[in-house]
Amino acid sequence: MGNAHLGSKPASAARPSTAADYGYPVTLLPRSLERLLSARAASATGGIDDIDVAWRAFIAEQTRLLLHVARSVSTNHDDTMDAYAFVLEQLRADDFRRLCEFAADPRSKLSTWLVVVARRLCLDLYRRRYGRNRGQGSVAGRAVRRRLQDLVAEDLDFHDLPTVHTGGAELAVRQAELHSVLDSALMTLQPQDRLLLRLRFDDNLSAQEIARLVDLPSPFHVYRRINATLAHLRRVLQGRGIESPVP
Amino acid sequence: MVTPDEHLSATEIAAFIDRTLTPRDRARAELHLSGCGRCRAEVAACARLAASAPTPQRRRPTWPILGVAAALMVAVVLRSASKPGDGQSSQARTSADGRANMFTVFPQRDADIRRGELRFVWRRDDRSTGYRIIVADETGAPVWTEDKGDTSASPPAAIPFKTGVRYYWRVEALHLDGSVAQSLETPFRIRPE
Repeated sequence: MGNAHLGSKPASAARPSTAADYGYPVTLLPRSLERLLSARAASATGGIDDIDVAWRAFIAEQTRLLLHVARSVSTNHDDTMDAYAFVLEQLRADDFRRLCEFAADPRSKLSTWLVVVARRLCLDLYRRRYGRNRGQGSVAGRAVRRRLQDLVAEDLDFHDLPTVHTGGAELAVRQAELHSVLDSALMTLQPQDRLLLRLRFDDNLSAQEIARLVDLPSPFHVYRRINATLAHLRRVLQGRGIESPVP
Repeated sequence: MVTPDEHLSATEIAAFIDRTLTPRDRARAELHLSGCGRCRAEVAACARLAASAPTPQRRRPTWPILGVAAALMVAVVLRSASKPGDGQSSQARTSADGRANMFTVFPQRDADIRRGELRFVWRRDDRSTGYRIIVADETGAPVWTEDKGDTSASPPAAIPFKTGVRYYWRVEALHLDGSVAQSLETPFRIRPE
């Protein structure tokens, strides 16, 4: 058995510096990344400079994944290709700083790490270009802002602007009270149970997605756990005089 | 290291999705995520992207290699077909992206077993660099998890398995290319000594 992803404490490490030193489960680096980092090291010490070859091989292997991420945050082909180019530029920036950081602490698969990093980079690019997204219900507003940026010459239809709904002041107060009681009841739950509810009801993840994320064996376990947690929550709320979700 | 107030780093989010954080860091990450919508949204989006991501582009195998691989596959199929009952104790999960299977061997599905005899055995995965065994109770809460280099494991005596309770176990294998093979979860019960 090779040097697996199994966590192991160092026998005589004076100062921990890698994932293995800290006892984290360590994954082996993909060969293309190892080759790239070796080429980088060789280049730094005046050895044979095949860093471009290794970089091209690394890109060739990861292009589909990076384009997949770029597409997920873009609305058209040009945006996708801009984002893809930006991600490549940033991965290579500062002498491959990001990839070196991953290699020093490879706590996850490279592909998962690349998804997270590439998505963050793509979002950074869009924030620079279109400004930060503020507010929760501003999908229509974002679309309008994007059109303002992209199509300055085009006339905008005021019907595209988001409508603001307001309710009565008394209703708002009662809703705020209800939310406050619910929040304090939620704080009585275990963090993992609270996370389950948030993922299911705030973020609308499917039971299967939640099972994968929180390490439950199947979606049925998610449903069972959520039902048990909701029953507990209901009891806590009833104890505080809340019988109905309607304010 | 994750603290409840700090947003999760890219490394931590990736490790959370891959379930490779240490139990202590995972608990901290869960505490943070339960109160941080921004990090939760990022975890959810990245988990979806990672699940639907295409596999890395690798050099295509040459025809002679494909021929050898096909012959090996035929041999494996013929071998498993010639062993009646062999598949009864084994359960495998094949993911949509074609990851390899993992097979549990013992305890078998719905086995009633004494605590003193509890030992988990699974089939070897040739591509594996290590295994992780996970035992959970009926609510899915992990009861015992351990990383192993070989294909069997015995839970320490301190692990509180209760008589009559149904437990589920499964095993995962990590491959050199970073992919993970998993078995289906196999239910079993502890019977009185």
